Amino acid sequence: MEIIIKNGFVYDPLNGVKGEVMDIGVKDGKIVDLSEVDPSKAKVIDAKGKVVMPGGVDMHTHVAGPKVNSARVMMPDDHYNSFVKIERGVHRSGTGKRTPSTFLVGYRYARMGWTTIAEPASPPLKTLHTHEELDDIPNVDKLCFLLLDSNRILLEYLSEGDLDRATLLVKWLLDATKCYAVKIVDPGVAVLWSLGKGYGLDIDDEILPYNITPRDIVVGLCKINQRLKLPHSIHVHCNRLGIPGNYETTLKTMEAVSHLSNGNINIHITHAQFNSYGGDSWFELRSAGEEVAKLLNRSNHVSLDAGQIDFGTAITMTADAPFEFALYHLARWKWGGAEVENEAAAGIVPFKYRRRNFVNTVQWCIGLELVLLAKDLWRVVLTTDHPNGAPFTRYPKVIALLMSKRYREEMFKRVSSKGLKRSVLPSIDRELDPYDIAIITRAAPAKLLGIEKFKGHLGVGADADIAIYDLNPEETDFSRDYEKVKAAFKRALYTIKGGEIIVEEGRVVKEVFGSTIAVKFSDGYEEDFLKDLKERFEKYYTVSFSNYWIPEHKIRKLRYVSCG
Amino acid sequence: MGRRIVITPKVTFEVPVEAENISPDVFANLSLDEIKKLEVYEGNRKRSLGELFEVSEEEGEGEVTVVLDGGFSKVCRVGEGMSFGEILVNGDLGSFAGYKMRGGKITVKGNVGGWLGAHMVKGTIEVFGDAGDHVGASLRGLRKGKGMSGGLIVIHGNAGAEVGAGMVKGTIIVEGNCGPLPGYAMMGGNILIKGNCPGKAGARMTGGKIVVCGRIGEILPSFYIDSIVPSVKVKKVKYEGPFYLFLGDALEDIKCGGRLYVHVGNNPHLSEFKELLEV
Repeated sequence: MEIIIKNGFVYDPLNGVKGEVMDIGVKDGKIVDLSEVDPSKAKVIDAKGKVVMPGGVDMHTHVAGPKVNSARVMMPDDHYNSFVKIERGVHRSGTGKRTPSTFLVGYRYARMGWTTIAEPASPPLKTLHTHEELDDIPNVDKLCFLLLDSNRILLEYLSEGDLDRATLLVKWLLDATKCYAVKIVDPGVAVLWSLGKGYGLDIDDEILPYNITPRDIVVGLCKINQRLKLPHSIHVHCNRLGIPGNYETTLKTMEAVSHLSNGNINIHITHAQFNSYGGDSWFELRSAGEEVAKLLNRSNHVSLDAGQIDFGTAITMTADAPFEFALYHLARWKWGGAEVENEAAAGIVPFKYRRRNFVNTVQWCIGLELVLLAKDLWRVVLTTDHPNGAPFTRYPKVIALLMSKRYREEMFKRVSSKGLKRSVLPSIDRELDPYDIAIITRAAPAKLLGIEKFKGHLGVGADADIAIYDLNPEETDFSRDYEKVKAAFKRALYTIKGGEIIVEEGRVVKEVFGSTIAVKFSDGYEEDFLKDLKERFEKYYTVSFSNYWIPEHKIRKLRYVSCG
Repeated sequence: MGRRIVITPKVTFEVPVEAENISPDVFANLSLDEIKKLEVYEGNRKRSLGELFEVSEEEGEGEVTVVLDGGFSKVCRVGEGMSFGEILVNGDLGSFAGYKMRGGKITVKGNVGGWLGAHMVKGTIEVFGDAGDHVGASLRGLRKGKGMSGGLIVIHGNAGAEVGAGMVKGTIIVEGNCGPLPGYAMMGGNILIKGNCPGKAGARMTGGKIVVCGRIGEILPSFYIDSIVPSVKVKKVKYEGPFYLFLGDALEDIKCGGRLYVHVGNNPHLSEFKELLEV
């Protein structure tokens, strides 16, 4: 299919295009030079007075995997009032607001103009399940990160100081599970949770059975990441998440790997909002977004994503079981624990963020502060850590908040005033423009993930993932017309995925299936290593060594990114 | 003068029929022709009320009376959200009858399915046959205290499991036996069971009153024995005992706000509690 998008205001930060009126040509699923498109055959989309951006990239969203499925089981109340009807020949039915069924995830992302998503935590043993679910998410390309911090064999290698073997193991695991990057969740805590401990583990506390500290795990995996030349840096959920005063741990984690950097970004702090709490207790909680943003601005090896919350019911789910257990005692509703048997320990707790609650207000402020205080937006990404902070369908609201101080002030009237006093958000005047929004939702995540060659931009040769929004940057005052901004980003005018129009006027009109992106290594493994690995494997696992490897034919469409 | 609308099924239904439009609130301002055009679902097919049912109208007493004659055992959500009038069922009725009911009266001469009077706010439901599970309960997965919040449900036959789960206010009277877990996670209100109960009464309760006049299987270990009382009052009617009074559920709330009354005479296997009180 050939498409020409005419006269749109194009925002393409990776190519430095800042709202210029341009035409874009699409042919065979790629963006091509206009001369290659035959105007008589092509479908012409008139984007005059509209914003044209690359398709959005969400680098942290829990949409698939065993714990998402457990949450679906735990939350029948999320499903029985949110039925989406089938439209024959167009899309399938589904339910769910906070944990939507797989098909709805794809439709809703496409409706907002997002075309690439990353499931950030999959325990290796259950990654086949994660892939099965990702395969059922239409209209987006998918990535999957591998939970590695609590793999027993890796911890053994690290405690023995055998970094070569550990490197080979990480490579083998990524190869076996067809994943993309290394995810670290509260390093060491899963091991301790299997012993019934682990709440509040700090970065320099010892993980008893192995005589190593979380710092060793982070530094070790960062070194391994560099040795393997993986496209994405380590994706770290820091220790002591959700505990007042945890920003110090976050800063320590950032600094722990600063000596390893040679100018490159080598650590990504994920959902930094949950890790930027000051004060000693919940009563003295204050925002430490400023401190974290300061270190981000001072250093050049750190990137982060916001993990913004929005008020309303969310479902917190993370491979940080002790914290979730503690949260359950605050929320007193439901608690689910899972995955202790597969190299992780996850907890699931539904949680309601209340506007008038001072703690929740502080949380709400921190996420916005982190983005607004960052000098270099190329190292900041907009996420809501779906569904922990808010469902991903709240992105339009967060974008409007970032673009309009007036909207923020409107919200200040409705939130807890005590909470506002504990944060610096009311004193920030910065308002982002569409170019900045295109950075934090498209270009920056694509670049941080290392897929900027074919995603997140509109240059010749990129995948034809394009979103067109009904927003005229010349006529709209973003600060005043925040409702317009919200409405525009909520329903994209057009979304094009791989050269196919999948959304028209905010309605899904087509279902296409994207590919799963994974890393590929050129070289194989030595017999010696495999023998050792097999021995250790048989000690820990109930599945056989040969069944652990996920064959390529199990995944609908694999797309390899070579590294090393 | 009031209206009396009589509805009779034309066929025997094999799949559930979702008929939330059968309610005095909906019928009140509509003519007979308009009533016949109301939407109902038979399985996943959309139908009109007139297609599936014979509908006739006659003059009657009171405000609006809806009379359901015949096989309604597969018809769900009758009287959903009704706030006045009366529904009289001469036979069986399906599940979710009187869901979110806000007033009025439902009388069923036969049996009813599950979720009778779920999320009920006000009004009266009387069933002369048996009831299914989850009478006056809250839907699955909801926060505590989202169940029945007022009104009266009387069942002259037996009831199923989880009677009054998550209820906050109101009264449920079961004259026959009931299934396990009556008053699960209840926060207030009264449940009176005149028959027997297999057990687990009041699990996770933090308030309210459960009275079991018949035999109960066991008392949950998270309940404390408080005393033996000679009689207990439910809705101003006195029931002669004596009754064991248990307080709980200690696992849910250390204040033990829930009260569970169990008849002494019908439960000789609980005599150990009597000994505990004497010490």
